[in-house]
Amino acid sequence: MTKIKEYLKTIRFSLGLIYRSSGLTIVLYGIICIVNSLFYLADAYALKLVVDGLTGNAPDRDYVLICVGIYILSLILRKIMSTVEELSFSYINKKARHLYECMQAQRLEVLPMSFIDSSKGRDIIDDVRYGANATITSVRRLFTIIASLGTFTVAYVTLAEFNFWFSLLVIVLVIPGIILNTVFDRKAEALRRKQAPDVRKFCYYRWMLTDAWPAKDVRMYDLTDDIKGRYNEEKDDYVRANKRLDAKKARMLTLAEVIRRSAEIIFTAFIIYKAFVGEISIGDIALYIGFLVQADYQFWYMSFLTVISFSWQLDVMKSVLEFFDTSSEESKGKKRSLDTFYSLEFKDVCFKYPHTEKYILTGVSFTLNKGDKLSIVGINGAGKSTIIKLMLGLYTVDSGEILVNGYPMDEYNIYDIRKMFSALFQDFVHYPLTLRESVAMSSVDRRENDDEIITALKQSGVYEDILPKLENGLDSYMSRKFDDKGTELSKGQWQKIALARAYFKKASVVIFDEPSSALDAEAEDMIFKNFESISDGKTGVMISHRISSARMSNKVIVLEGGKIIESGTHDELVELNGLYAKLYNLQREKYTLKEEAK
Amino acid sequence: MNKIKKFFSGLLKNIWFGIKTCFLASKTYFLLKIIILLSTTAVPMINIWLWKEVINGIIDREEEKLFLALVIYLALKLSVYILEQVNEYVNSRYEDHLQFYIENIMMDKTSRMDLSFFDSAKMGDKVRHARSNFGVMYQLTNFVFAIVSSFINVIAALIIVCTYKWWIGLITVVLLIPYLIYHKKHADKLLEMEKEQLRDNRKQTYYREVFYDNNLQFEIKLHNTGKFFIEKYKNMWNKLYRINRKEEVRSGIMDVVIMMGVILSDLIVLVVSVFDVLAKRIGIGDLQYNLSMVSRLRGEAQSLAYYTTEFLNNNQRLTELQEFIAIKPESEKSGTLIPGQNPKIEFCNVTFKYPNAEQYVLENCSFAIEPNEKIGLIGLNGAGKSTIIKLMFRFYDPESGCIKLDGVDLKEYNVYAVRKIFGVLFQDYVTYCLPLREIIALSDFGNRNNDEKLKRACDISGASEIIKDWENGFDSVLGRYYADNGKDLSGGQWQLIGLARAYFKESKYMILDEPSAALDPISEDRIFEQLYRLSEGKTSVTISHRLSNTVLADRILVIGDGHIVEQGSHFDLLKQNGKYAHLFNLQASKYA
Repeated sequence: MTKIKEYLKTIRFSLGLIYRSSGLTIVLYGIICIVNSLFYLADAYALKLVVDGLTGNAPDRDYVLICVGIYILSLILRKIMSTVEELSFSYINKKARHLYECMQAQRLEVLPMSFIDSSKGRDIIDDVRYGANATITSVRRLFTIIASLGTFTVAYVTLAEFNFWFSLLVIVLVIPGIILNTVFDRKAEALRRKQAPDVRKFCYYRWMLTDAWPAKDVRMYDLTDDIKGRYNEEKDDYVRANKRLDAKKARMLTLAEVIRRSAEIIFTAFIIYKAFVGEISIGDIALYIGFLVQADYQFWYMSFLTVISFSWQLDVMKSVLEFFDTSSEESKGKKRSLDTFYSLEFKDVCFKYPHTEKYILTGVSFTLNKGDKLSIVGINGAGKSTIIKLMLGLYTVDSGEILVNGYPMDEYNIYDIRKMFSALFQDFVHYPLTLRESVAMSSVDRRENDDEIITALKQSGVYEDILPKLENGLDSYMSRKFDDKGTELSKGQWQKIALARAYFKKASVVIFDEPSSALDAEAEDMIFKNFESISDGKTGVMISHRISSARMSNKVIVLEGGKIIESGTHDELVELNGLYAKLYNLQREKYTLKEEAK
Repeated sequence: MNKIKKFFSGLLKNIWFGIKTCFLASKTYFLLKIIILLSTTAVPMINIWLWKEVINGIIDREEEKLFLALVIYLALKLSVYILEQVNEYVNSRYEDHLQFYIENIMMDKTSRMDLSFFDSAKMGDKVRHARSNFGVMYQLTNFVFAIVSSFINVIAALIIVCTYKWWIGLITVVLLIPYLIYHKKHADKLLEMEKEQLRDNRKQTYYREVFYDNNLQFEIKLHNTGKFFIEKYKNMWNKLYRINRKEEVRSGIMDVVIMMGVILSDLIVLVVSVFDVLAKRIGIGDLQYNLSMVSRLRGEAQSLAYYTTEFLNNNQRLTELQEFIAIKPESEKSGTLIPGQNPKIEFCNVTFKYPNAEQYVLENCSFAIEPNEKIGLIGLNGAGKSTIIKLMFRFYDPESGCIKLDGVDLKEYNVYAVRKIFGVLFQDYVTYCLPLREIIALSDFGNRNNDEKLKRACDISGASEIIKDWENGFDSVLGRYYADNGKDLSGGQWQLIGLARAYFKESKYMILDEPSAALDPISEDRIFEQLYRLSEGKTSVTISHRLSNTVLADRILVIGDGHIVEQGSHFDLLKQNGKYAHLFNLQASKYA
C-alpha cells in the first residue's frame, strides 16, 4: 500500500516535470502509444480478411483487393504513427531532461556543503545524477503498461471467445517465467550492488595503466605486469560470480520458457486442428495465432514493466524526490543588511566534518578586525583550512558561534557574507575556460572589464609571463579541453592565475591558503610583499608553512590539535618560546647558517 | 579508382581484425555463438516454408502431409525458443570475455607506450581517443556477427522471392535502394554533426558537472558563480537543441516517405499472389509464404544496411586502433647493460625540448654527479629542473648531447634496470585510491606484503605519524573511490606517503622533487635531516624552492636558460653573489 502511494507520488513528480517542460505533448504521446500498439492486431485482422476473401466459395477479386489495400494502409499508418511516437517522445525526453538538469544544478548550487559532503548526501547525489532517465521513463513505462494492457485485453477477449480454457492456459503458463524473471532480476541487482566495489577496484587498476597522471610511476617502477595481475585477480572473481548466476539463471529460465511456450505450441496445434475440421476459416488461423502471440507477449511485457516500476525505479525516484526536498543552506526569515566589514569573531567554536567522528576544532576563539593581518600557523592537519571554510559559512559549527560585525552569522544572508571575502584555496580550481573567465570567476559580473583583469594579472605577477604569448589575449583558452590551440600552464602559473582571481574580487577580506607552495623564491617574495602591503582598511588572512610570512602580520594564532595554543604578534610569540618559536627557529637557523657551523 | 581499392582493402583488413579479435577473446564461446547464429538464421526460414505446407495441407486436405509438417514446425519453433535462452547465456558469458580481452590489450599497449605519448594535450586527446576506440571495437565486433546474420538472411530470402517471381525480387531490391542511400547519408550527417558539436557538447557537460566537484563547489559558493554556470549551460543547450531538433524532424519525415516506397513491395507481392491464387496457380499458403519472405527480405536488408553503415562509419576508428596497437613499446629502445647501484651520472651538452613543443627546455646542459654526493637543484619555475630528472630515467631522450652512467651512454643500459636504481618522489605525486599497502609498495610491488619493510619506510619518512591510530593499518583504503570509509589525506600527508614509497625501495639513489611543498616545518626538518645527515653511502638529488632545504647539500646546481649557471656549495655560491645569492637572500631576509 505504501509502495503504491510512493509510486503515485513519483509519477506526480515526473508528470509535473514533463508537463512544465513540454506542455501537452505528453497527452499526444500517450494516445499514440495506445493506438499504435493496437495496430499490431489490425495487421493480423486485415490479413485474415484477405485470406478469407480468397478461400471463400466464390472469391470476389475486387473485395480481396480492397482488403489488400486495407492491409497496406495499416502498415503505412503504423509507420507514420510510430515515427510520430518517436519524435514526440524525443521532444519530451530532451525538454524534460534539460529542465531536470537545470533544476538539479540549481539545487546543488544552494545545498549546504554538510549535505554534499555527507555519505548519505553523496549516495543521493549519485542517484540523482543519473536520475533524469528514471524520472522520464517512469512515465513512459506507465503509458506502455496501459497500452500493453489495452492490446492484451482485445487479444485475450478474442481468444477467450474462441476457446476459454486454452486462453486461460496461455496466461497461467506465462506466470512461472514472470516470477523467475523477477527473482533473477533481483538477484542480478543484488549481485551488482555487492560487486560494485570490486568493479571499481579493477576499473581503478585499469585507470592506473591507461591514464597520464600515474604514467610516470607505472614506467618508473615497471608496474604493467603487476598491476595487470591485480586487475585480473579482481576481475576473475567478478567474472566467476557472474558466471555462477548466469548458469543458474539460464537453467531456470529455459525451464520456464519451455513451460510458457508449450502453451503456445498446444494452442497452435489446436487452431490448426479446428481449421482442418472446418470449424474456423483459413484466415482465422493467422488471426488467432497473431493474437495468441500478442496476448502472451503483452501479458509478459506489462508484468515485467510493473515489477520494474515498483522495484529499483522506485528506489532511484525516492532519492530524486528527497534530493529536491532537502532544504537549502539559506535559512528563511528577515536578514540583517551587511555593507561594511568590521569584525569576525570565533567564539568557542567546535567542529567536525559531517561524515566523520573526529573533532577538527575544539573550542576555538579569536577575533579578526577590519585592517588586521592575521596569520594562522600550525602543523599539518591542525585545522587551519577548516577555519577558513567556517569563516566563509561553507559549513555550520557544531557548537559555539561565529559573529560577523557582532551578530551571529546566520542572521545575515549567506551570499552577503561571502561577498566580503575572497580566497585563494589550497586546492584552487583550474578552470578549462578562457583566461578572462578564469580570472573574473570571482566576480563574473565584471568579466568584460579588461583593465581590471589585467591589473589583477599584473598584481599576481603572471601578466608578463603569459599574456604576450597568447594569440587571442584574454579570450584565449587556458586548456585544450575546449580549444585545440589552448595554452597549457604549469602548476606555478596556475597558482598565480588563481591568485589573480582572488585579487580581482576586490573583497574586504582576502584569504591566502598556502599561496606559494608551488612557487619559486621570486614569485613567493612577491606574494608576501602583496600581503604586507594590504592597506586602505582591507583585511588579510594568511596560512603558510613559511613562518616568515607571519612576521608581516599584526596577529598570529597557533593551532595544535584543534585548539589555539598561542596567539599574539610575531615578537611576542618568539619571546614566549613555544611551538611558534620552535617552528620559526627551525626555518630561521637554516637561513642564518654560518660557514663554521657546518 | 585507387582510392576505392584502398578503402576496400582497408575495410577487409578491419573486418578480418574484428573477426580475429572476436575469436581470440574466447574460442569456445565464439564457436558456440556461430553455431547458434547459423541455426537461428536458418530455422525461421524453414519454418516459414513449413507453415506454407501446413496451410496448403489444410486446404488440400492432405492429412499426413499436414501432420508431419505441423509436428516438425512446432518442434523447430520450441527448439528456437530454447536456443534463444541458451544464446542469452552464451552472449552474457562471451561479453565478459570480450570486454576483458580488449581491456587487457588496451592496458598492455597503453602502459608500455613511451611517456611522451601522454605528453602534450594533443597526445592527451590521442590517449582518450584510443580509449574510446577500444570501446567502439567492443561494439563493432558485435556488429560483425549481426552483419553476417542479416547478410545470410537477405541472400536466402532474395533467392526464395526470386524463385517465385524474379522481378518481384528485383523490384524489392530496387525499392530498397533509396532507403539505403538515405540511411547512409543520414548517418554521415549525424556523424558530421557529432564532430561539429563535440566541443560544444563537452562544454555543456562541463558547465553542468561543475557542481559535482567539491573544490569547485567551494569556489562556486564563495564567489556565487552558480547562476553563471547554469546560464552558460542553458545557452549551450538551446543552441544545440535548435540545430538537432530540425535535423531530427526532417529525418523523421524523410523516413516515413521512403518507407512508403519500401512497403510498396509488400503491396506488389500481395496483389500478384492474389491473382495467382484466384487463377489457382498457387495455394493460399503460398500467398502468406511470399508475403512473409518479402517482409523478411525488407527487414533484414534494413538491418544489414544499419549495421554496415555503423561499421563503415567506424571503419576509420578501427584503422586508428590497429595503428595504435602497432606502435612500438618503450622497451624496444632499451639496451642490454645492467647498471651499478650507485653510479656516477654525467650530462654532456644535453639539449632537449618536449615532443611537439617549440621551446627548448635544456640547451647544452652539462654537469656530473659523483656517487654519494648530496645535490641540490635550484631554479625558477619552468627552468627545467624536473626535466633533468625525467631525462635521467630515460622517460625521454636528449635531442643532442648524451647522458652517461659510469661513463657509458644511458642508451646502452636496460631501461627498467636503470629506473630500478632510484628511489623517487615526483612533484605531481598521484593520490592513489588503493589500500595503503599497495600505495607505498608501488615502488617494489612484489614486496607489498612485507609489513616490516612497510613499517621501516613509514618510520623513515614520518608517515607513521599519520597511520599510527588507523584500525586497519596498512590495509586501510585511501580515498573514497571504492570504499565509503576510505581515508582522506591532506596534501602534506600525501607527500609523506609519497616519501614512504620512495624509501620503501631501499635504493642508494634518492631523487626528491619538491618533497616538502605542503609540509609543516617540523616534518620538513625531519625529511632533510634524514636526507643529509643519516644517509651515509647514498646519493641524493633534491629540488626545492625553499632554499633553506638545500643549504646542507654538498653541491648546489643552479639552472637558468636551460643550463647550469652556477654550482658549488651554499657558502661558495653566497660568496659568488650571483643568481643563487639573490634568490636565497629574498627568503633569508624575512628571517633576519
